[in-house]
Amino acid sequence: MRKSKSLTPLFFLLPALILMVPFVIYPVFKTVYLSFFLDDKFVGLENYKNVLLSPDIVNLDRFPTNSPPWGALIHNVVWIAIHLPATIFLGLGIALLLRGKEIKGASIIKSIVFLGMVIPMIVGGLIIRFLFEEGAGVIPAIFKALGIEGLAITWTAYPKTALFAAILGSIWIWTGFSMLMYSAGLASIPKDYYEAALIDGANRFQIFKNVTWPLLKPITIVVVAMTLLWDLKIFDVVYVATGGGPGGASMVLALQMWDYFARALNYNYAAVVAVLLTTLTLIPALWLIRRRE
Amino acid sequence: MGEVKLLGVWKKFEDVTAVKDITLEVKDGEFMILLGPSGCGKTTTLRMISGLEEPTKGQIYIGEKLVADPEKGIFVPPKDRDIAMVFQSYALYPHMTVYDNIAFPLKLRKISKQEIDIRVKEVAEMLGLTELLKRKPRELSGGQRQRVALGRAIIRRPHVFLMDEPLSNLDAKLRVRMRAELKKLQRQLGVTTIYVTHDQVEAMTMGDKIAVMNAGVLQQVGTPEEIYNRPANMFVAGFIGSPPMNFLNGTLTEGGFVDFGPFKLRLLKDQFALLQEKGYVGKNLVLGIRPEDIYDGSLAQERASENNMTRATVEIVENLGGERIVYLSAEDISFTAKFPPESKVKEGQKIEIVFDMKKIHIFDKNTKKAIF
Repeated sequence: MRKSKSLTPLFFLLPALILMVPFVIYPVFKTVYLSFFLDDKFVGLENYKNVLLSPDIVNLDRFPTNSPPWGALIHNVVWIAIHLPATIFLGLGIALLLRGKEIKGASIIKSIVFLGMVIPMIVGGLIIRFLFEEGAGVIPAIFKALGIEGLAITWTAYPKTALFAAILGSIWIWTGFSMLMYSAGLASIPKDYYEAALIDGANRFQIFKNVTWPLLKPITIVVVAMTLLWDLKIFDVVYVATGGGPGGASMVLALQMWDYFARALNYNYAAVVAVLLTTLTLIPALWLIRRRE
Repeated sequence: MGEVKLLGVWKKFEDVTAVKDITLEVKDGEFMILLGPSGCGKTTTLRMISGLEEPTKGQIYIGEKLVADPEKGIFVPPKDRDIAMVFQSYALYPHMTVYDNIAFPLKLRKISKQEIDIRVKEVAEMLGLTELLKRKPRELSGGQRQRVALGRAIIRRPHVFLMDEPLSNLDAKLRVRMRAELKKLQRQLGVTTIYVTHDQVEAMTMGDKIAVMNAGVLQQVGTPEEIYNRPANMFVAGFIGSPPMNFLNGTLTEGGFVDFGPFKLRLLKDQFALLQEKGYVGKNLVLGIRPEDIYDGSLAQERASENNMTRATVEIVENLGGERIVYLSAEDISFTAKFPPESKVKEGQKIEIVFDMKKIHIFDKNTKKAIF
C-alpha cells in the first residue's frame, strides 16, 4: 500500500519524463560531453583552458584601460554592473512615484514603460539601433544639442560606445519588469504600516528605509535573480543592435557561443561556452529557488 | 495635560460627510469610548485626532495645543501630537523582532541605545513579553501580538492613547481577558485614552465615558450608567443593551394610559404630569422598555395590577442557562423579555406579563428624542 502510494505520482510524471529524455537530458549531457573533445579526441580541460584564456572571453590586456572589446565574459559582467542597479532603481522609483490613485495617467505611463517587456526582443534590438543612430536617433541628437560632439555619433558603429548602447537600451526593455514587480509589491503592503510609522514619528525617508524597503525584500530577491539571469542570457538584443561588433566590442557570452557554433563551426568551443553560461546562470537560479522556499 | 477637545469638527470626503459637527471633550486620564455601528464616523474621528486625517472644519486641541484648524491653516502632523495609536490590525512590522517593534518609536527619536534598552525591558516586563523579545510577530499568538502593539504605544509615554478596535481580531475568550487587562493598564498608566469600538459590551465594561455616534453625528456622551439608564434618543436606547430595548408605538389618553391597541398601560402620576405639561395628550408617542424590565406574571404577582399587565403569546424561548430570552406577541405587537431561569414559560403558551412602569422610557415619535 505504502509503496504504490509513493510510486503513483511518478506514474503520472512518466509521459513528461519520457519526452524530457531526448529533448532535454540527452542534449545537456551531449553538450557537456562535447566540451571535453576536440576533433573527436578526448582532451580533458584543454578546451576550457583555451576558451577562458582567449581574448574572445576575457581580454585583460584591454580591460579596463582601453575601450572594448574586453571579452564576452567581462562584457556580461559590465552589463550586470550597470543594468542591475539601474533596473532596481528605475523600476522601484517609477513604482513609488506612480503608486496610488492620485496620479493622473499613472496607468498610461506604466503601460509605456511596460511596452519594453511586451515587444519582441528582436524589435527591441532594432529600436536600440535607431535610438543610437546619428541623424535618426534621439540619443545622438541630444548629445549634439548639448554640444558633446564625441557622443553625437552612431553609437553602435564604434567600439567605445557599442556595448553601452546595447546596455542602455536594455534598461528600457527590462525596467517594465521590475516596475511591475515593485508595483505589485507596494500594493501588497498594508496602509496601516505606513500610518503606524507616521504616528511613531518617522519621516518619509525613515518610512522607506524601515518599512517599505524591508517589506519589499522578497520582490527585490526576485528582481535581482531574474535580472541576473536575463543579463547572463542576453542574446537577441545584441544580435540585432550591434551583432556583437564592431570587432567584438559588444560581444556577450551567448552570442560568442553562437559565433563559435555557427560562424567558426567550432562545436567544442561552443559547448564549452554553453557549459560555462549554464553554470553561471545556475547560481542565481538556485539562489532564487532556495530563497523562495 | 492630556485632555482632548474637539470643537465643531466636520469631515467630508468628496460628497460624503463622514463626521458632522462633533464637539467632544475628553478629560485628562479619562477612558473615552467612541461607540457606534460601522460607518458611523467613529474611526474617522479617531483618525482626525491622530492627524492621519485633516478635518474639513472645526478645531482639535490636544492638551493646550491647537493641532488642527483648517480655517487658520493649522495642521500639526501626527508625530508632533504626542499621541500613540494601536491599530485593529496591530500593524506590527513583520521583519522586525518584538524588541525592534517596541523600540522603533524611540529609535526614530534618536534616543540612546542604553535608554532604549532599559525602556523596552521595562515595558516588556509590564506586558509579560520579556520571553518573547527575540521573536518575530508571525511567531506570536493573537493576544501576544496585541500586547506588542500596546507596548509600542506605551513606550513613547504619550499624553494620549488612541485605539482603533484593538480587540476585534481576538477570539471571544481572549477578548474578555484583554478587556480587563487593558482597563487595568490604562488605570495604572493614567493616560487619556480614546478607544473606538462597535462592541457595546467593551464600551460598557471599559469606558469611564461613552460617546455614542451614528451617521456621523454624536448622539450622546455620558458614563455607561447614564447611557444605559437615560438614553438621549431612540438610537442610543436601541443600540445599547442586548437584546435591545423594545419600542411600542402608542397614543397617550386623557386618563393617563398609553394605548397600544391590543392593550394599555397606565403611566405613573409624575410621568403623566410631565407629558401633560409638554402637550402630548392625545398624541402618538413611543414607549421604550428593556427586556429585563418585563416580568413573567406568574413570578411577579406582587408587582402586577390591572394598570401594568397584559396577556401575550410566547413565540420563541431561548434558554441561555442563566436567563431566558422570550419573544412575545400581543396581536400585532411583538416584544422581547428576559426572564429568570425559574420561569417555566413554553412556546405557544398564553401568559400574563408585567411591565415595570418605573423603568419605562418615553420618546417623541417624530424627533426620536427621549422625553424621559
